[in-house]
Amino acid sequence: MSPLLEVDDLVITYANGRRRVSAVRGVSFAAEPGETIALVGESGCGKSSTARAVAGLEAATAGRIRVAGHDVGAIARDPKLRHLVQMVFQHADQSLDQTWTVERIVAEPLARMHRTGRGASHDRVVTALAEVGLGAEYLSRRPRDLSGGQAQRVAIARALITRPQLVVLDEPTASLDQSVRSRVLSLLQSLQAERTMTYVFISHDLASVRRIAHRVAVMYLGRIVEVGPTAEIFRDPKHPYTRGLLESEPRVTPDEPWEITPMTGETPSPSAIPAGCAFQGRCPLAGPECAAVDPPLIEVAGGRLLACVKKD
Amino acid sequence: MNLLAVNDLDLRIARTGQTLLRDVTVSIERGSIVGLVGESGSGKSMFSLALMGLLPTGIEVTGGTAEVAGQPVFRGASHSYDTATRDRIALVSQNPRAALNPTMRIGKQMVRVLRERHRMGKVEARDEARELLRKVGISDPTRVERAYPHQLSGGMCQRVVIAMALSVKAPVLIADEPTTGLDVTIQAQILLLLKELMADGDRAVLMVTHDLAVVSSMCDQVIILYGGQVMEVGPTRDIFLDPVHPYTRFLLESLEDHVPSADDIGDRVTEASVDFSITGCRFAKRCPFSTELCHREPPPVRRSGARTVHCHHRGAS
Repeated sequence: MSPLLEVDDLVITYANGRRRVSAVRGVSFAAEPGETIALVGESGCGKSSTARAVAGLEAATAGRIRVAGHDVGAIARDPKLRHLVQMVFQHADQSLDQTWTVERIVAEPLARMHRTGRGASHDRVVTALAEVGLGAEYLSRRPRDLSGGQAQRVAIARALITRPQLVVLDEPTASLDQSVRSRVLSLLQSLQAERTMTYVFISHDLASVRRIAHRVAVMYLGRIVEVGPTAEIFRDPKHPYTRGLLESEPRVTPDEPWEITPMTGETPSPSAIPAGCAFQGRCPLAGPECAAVDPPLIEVAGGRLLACVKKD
Repeated sequence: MNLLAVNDLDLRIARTGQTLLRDVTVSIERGSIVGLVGESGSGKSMFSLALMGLLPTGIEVTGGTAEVAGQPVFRGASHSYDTATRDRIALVSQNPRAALNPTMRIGKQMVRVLRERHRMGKVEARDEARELLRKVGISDPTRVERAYPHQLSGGMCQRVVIAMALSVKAPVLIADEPTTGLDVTIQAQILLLLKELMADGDRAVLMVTHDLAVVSSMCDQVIILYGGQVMEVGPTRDIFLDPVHPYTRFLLESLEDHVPSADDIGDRVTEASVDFSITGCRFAKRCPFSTELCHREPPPVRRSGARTVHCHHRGAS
């Protein structure tokens, strides 16, 4: 099976005055139909820039992104292809037009693709809302009448109404309460199972990632430092950054006291990345060889890739 | 002795008469960290604002008592706030950058607080500020002193805010979502710092948060709040291992680590926003066990040892 999404050596550079800031520095990954790949990492790691580029909202400085064999640029330009990729944003309450009704919000992607008349569109909106667990009584409501969870359901209905093959989910549950978050994740999982969609799931919340992702790519300062199946990454993280990240996460473990040794230091600014491995300044294993080469991402075991010269 | 003792606190919107907090009781012993947990609309932030005398206009305390280190916080029939309380409570809030003055260098802000609060001389205050910055794990205090808040990372700003909170030497510390918005590796650093600083056992700490994992890692006791009403109180371990109140059970079932079981009630809890005008239990509308009684009467307080459950139908066993 050929991958639905192929990201090849993606580079995104922003101009900040006279300085250039490298947000994404050569990122490559692929995702199969029906697969969820999570991009995780902390502020400045480039996960959101990568996600936006995949959704066609951000121009790549270099590299290539293909979805179902089409270049993302072509998808954005061609109304016949635009349905392939959709995006769900973090703050549903802010990403929805406050003055529009739910019906108009959800129907908008259809209208923009000139694909349906008004009557057919109404029926599809009702179906799309039903799929996310909202009844027809929501059609005439406006975003201010919705709770955070309901607004995110509307945003999901809007993304899915075009029958996309790839959905980019940028922190879709970050602003939701715990109990609502769990239900939205379940909804995303069941919709994916019904339709074999591919998800690119962006999150800093490791608990959500563990639940929803099939594979995880860990990013640090614009690079992927480790990729692998979710269960393996969480059971046996190999990159020192991944290890530090997983150990830093507080867990609900009533029977064990929380004992951690937090990773020292902070992420350097993307405009002042050290030569060699970007993580060396915080890495407990760093040696002189880490300043010499920026380690490439190479396969260390079946399906597991690692960018570290200190690998065993 | 309880350094913080709040009994049956009521908070109302003056114009509509809606009760935002109803009969909220919180007590914290010296040396203890208590977590006040709730989702949005639970009133947890209103609670800390009330104790700081920072309630928004139109929201007022209408009942109950509060004492900090034995001194009353609210006085008279009008429950007016005694501003002297602010010397007894230090606050670390969610957005550290907003808590700092953006136009003033860090060193100057700290020196100002120290001189005003402790009547220190200039030189003494400057030395004390540097010492406090070291205490919160800042290895190069002279650089931080010269910086403006926007030149520092969020984690660094939070360290500064914690240093300033320590400088007040207050017996009670309120940490209101102190790590929300910080990256997870920085969150771990800040939580560990708070834990180390509190290890001397001189203070009472109220940790206000929506994050159950943070509570599980940090707190000795938990208070579960929903819709401005306490649902359940108890030692952290007991609450997490054996939740009694239907809302607590529902909340814990939603955790990613939860192992599903036949006793789960999560699927039977309906979604609805909090109704602040109802007289009965605030969770009744969503609760799978609720009866007509729950909708009508506020829940009784059932006590058993260190645990308290506010429910008509469930008692602590």
